[in-house]
Amino acid sequence: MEKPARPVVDIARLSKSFGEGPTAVHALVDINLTINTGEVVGLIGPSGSGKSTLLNCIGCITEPDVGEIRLDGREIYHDKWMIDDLRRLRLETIGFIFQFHNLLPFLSAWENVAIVRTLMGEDMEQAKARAMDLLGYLQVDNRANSPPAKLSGGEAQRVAIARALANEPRIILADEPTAALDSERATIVIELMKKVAVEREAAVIVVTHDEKIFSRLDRMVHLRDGRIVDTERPDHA
Amino acid sequence: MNLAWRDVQHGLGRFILTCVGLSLLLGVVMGMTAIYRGLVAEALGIVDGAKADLWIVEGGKRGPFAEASRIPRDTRNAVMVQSGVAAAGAIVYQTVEIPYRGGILRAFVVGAELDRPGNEVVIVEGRAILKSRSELVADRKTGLALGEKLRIGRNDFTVVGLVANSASSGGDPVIMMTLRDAQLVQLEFEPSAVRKEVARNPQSGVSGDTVNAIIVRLHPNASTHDVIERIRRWKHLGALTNPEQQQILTRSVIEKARKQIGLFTGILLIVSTVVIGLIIYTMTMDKKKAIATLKLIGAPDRTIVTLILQQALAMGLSGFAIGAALIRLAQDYFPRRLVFETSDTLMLLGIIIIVCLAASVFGVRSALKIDPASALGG
Repeated sequence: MEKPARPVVDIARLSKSFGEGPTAVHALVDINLTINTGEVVGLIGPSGSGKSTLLNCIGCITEPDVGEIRLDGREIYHDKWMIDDLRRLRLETIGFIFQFHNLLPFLSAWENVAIVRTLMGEDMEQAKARAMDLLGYLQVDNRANSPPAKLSGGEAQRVAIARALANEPRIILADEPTAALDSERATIVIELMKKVAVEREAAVIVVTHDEKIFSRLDRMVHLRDGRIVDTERPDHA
Repeated sequence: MNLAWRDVQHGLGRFILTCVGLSLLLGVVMGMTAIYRGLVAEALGIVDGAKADLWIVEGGKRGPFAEASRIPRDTRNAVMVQSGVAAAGAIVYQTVEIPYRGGILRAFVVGAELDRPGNEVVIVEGRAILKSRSELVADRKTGLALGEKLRIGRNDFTVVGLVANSASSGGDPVIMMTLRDAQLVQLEFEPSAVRKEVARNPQSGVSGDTVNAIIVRLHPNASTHDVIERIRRWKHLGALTNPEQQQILTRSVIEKARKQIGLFTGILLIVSTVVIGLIIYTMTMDKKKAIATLKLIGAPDRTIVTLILQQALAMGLSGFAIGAALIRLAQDYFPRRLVFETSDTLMLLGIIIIVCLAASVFGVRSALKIDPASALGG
């Protein structure tokens, strides 16, 4: 039986500006957004619309000026939160997927995944076992010992997804994850993220310009000049 | 997993090249220190080798090393009969340039009386001098071989023994001969006017039977102070203890070299710090994306700092080890003696560790300033 969806990301009245006075740039204005487990949500909009700022605020990187963000039920950025608390929250709750995979070039594929577990305090043997499980789940375990430079674009992105899953995150933030991939590989990657969201009860937030994956998203949030201007559910044909 | 080591393995060739480059710089630093120690060892070697309790020199002079000193040879007899004196020997020092194998051999001639203080040397090959007017003992750095004939002035000498690491404070290798032979050599190297005066009047005292100093050994219970006071009553004589002689040498002869080398070594250490700092900074900037990614996925600052410090230390220590090996391999090719002292090596090692840590400051600061958000986006 499918578990009922529950909110993992809950944003209320969020605003963020850069600079002061007449030259201030209002990157985000009064954002309200809730994302549930199992959901893959796309943040869509032109450059400067506030997508990256919103992603950074959710990712515990940029503190908003006004408003609240609740991640997995915990309000972040309140007075008692220190930078190290935010780092710890990133390490334990959020998985990141990047446009160009951002695998550490000096580590092998499995080490790139295992490093997350070791940062969480797990010993190397257990971390490696967990990394191999994830690489198997993403069907790249045959390249576990390869350095990133020897992996194809698709393989590297799968390893990057495995790394994002290594901490069993409640939230996965993906920044243009399919921009460097061809249509076929982009579809595979987005389907994979959907599978992860459902099976692991995570919320996936994807910043994308890639129209070929729009139809695969559960919801598209359109941003313009820092405001949410539209929310639509694509037709899953 | 050790991120510093993995990163080094990833760019091993570049890391080794950087370490070799740094090792040349650190090798020069070690070389400079060893050159200074060599200067001290060479300068004091002659003084210490004489095993003198007192040096009797020309009155009012700081001779025979810092200033010219000439006293009559028979002063030795007058000194010998002083209360508290166990033994005394006259000694002559003369720097000479001798035509040798188509070139010039510059050497420091030491003339000492047989079986008297000043004549004891450690022979490493061959034997000591047994007779006057034909034999000499040479330091290996002269290039002379056992049995080889050498013409000095108008006399031929045979090399009967070799010594090692015996040189003047100027670095000229030592040639030892009997006092008489050395006096003749000294006379032959005098200006011709002096030689003519000596030939016309051997008792003139201009040169001839003069020596540069008398080396005195005292009885174990003798009062050094009393002996010095008695000798200083002769106005034309002065007396210096061995520590005083060492101090004159270190202050007059080596002090400037020490300052020069010390200053140069300091400059080299500053240059090394800047070079290490630049390398660490460049290495850190090369990893900017990786560091941003590490920070974004939740790595604490200490992981990043450890990565940079470990690499800086690995580079500094590797450079130090390679530099030490290179300078030791090259030490025999230096014209002057290099002396490596464990205390200097350990002190330099400590300085290198501090330099590496200090040089990492810019790299660490830059790394900590990297915004994790820069890992996102292209």
